[in-house]
Amino acid sequence: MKKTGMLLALGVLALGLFLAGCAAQPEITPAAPPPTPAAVVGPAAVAQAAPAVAVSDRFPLPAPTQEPWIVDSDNCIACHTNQEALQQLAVEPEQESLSEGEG
Amino acid sequence: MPPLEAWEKVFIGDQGFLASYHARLGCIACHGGTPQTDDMEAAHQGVVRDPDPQQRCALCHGEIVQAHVNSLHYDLEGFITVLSDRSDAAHWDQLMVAYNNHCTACHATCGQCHVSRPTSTGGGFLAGHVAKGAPPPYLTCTGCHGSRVEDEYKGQNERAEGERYPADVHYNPGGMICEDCHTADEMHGTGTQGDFTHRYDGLATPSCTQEGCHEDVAPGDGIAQHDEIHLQRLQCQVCHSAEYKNCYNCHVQLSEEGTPFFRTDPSQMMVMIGRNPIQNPARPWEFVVLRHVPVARDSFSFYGEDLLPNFDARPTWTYATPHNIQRVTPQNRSCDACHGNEAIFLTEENVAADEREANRGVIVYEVP
Repeated sequence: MKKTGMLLALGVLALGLFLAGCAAQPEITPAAPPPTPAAVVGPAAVAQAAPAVAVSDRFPLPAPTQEPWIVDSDNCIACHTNQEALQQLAVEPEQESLSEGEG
Repeated sequence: MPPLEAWEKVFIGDQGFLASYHARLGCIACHGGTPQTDDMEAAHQGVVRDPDPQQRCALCHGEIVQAHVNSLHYDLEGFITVLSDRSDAAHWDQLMVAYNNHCTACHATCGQCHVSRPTSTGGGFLAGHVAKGAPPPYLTCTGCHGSRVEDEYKGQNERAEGERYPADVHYNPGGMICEDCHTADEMHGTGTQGDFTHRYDGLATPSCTQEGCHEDVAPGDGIAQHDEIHLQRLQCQVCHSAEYKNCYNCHVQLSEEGTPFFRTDPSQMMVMIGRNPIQNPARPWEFVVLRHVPVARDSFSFYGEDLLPNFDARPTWTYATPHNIQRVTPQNRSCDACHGNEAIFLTEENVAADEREANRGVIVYEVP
């Protein structure tokens, strides 16, 4: 009796699945694709792609290879390594403080 | 800290910067500016003196920067926490004008510890722009933590004419420096420290009894006062802190030219033991040392009336960890030096009448 009931239930389930498969398919309208992420240019891309490894394993770091990112700084270096020039050009900031007591 | 002349602050000497990895990037990669000109003004067009960690340092030091930008050293959230408790929504915008003018100078970017002295001290390279992995503590940490921590730690507070309070026992020339206790993880907010809203959030680290330090402190260690009662009820500093600095009545304002300045009343050196305002499993002690912080009900009155309407929401005598540890202190010389000594307990009489309500939770009503 139990066996017959189980077989009957399985039959109903199979019939349901068969009929569902024959039902009309809904019309699918493809949505607009999501915008393509902006490409990250420069060292950020390298940093994001880098696998997570222990800090100690990352050193010594290789020299950067993305030349366009490195802007020539010769003029900066020339001046900031020239003590005489800096002494002539650097301006002492106004130091006067109106504060009284310990901060 | 020895002063630097204007030219010294930006002079790249022979300390090795040009041979370092950071130099390979070139100045403009981090600081901006205009290449290929010999004219000083033109070259400095667009220069950023203190590069944004998230835009620059994070390119290589991403993990650290990601944590650091949420750390108290960077986001200064400790200030916001106490100000928001004492103020309210109606006064917040006015208060933030004052906050931005006066309270943000110690904002610590990567460069302000690893490359230069903090901007609040006038800046200047630590070593010809060499990026120091471990910042020199007495050129960087004490630039912001000077009045209290440095002066106490080095024994620079005057007791009387020609006499000073003792330096911390952990300090001596060549002795322990800040980083010996305060780890890089703690400074950067990395590791397990989490996103704090106040400096005493989280575990009580560094801890006096942590591994490698005084881990053998326990009942039966040979020191009579290290019994269960004292160790459970008292923060270490209650017995081992010498007199420390307490500050009062800070008032901020702007000069006619718009320059921010402050005025505080003379500070007082004393030990003041009170009830623990932040008693929790990490800081379970009943009694702790309390330091008076310089806030006053009208600290920001220059910017508006009653900008701290909930002033009484937080004590003005706050949990403290003074850096002036001594094995023997005036209060631990004998039982009577502490027990029954009303001068070193924050009794109601030791609190200004206007601040008693704010300090209800820390006042000791019955001196042990």
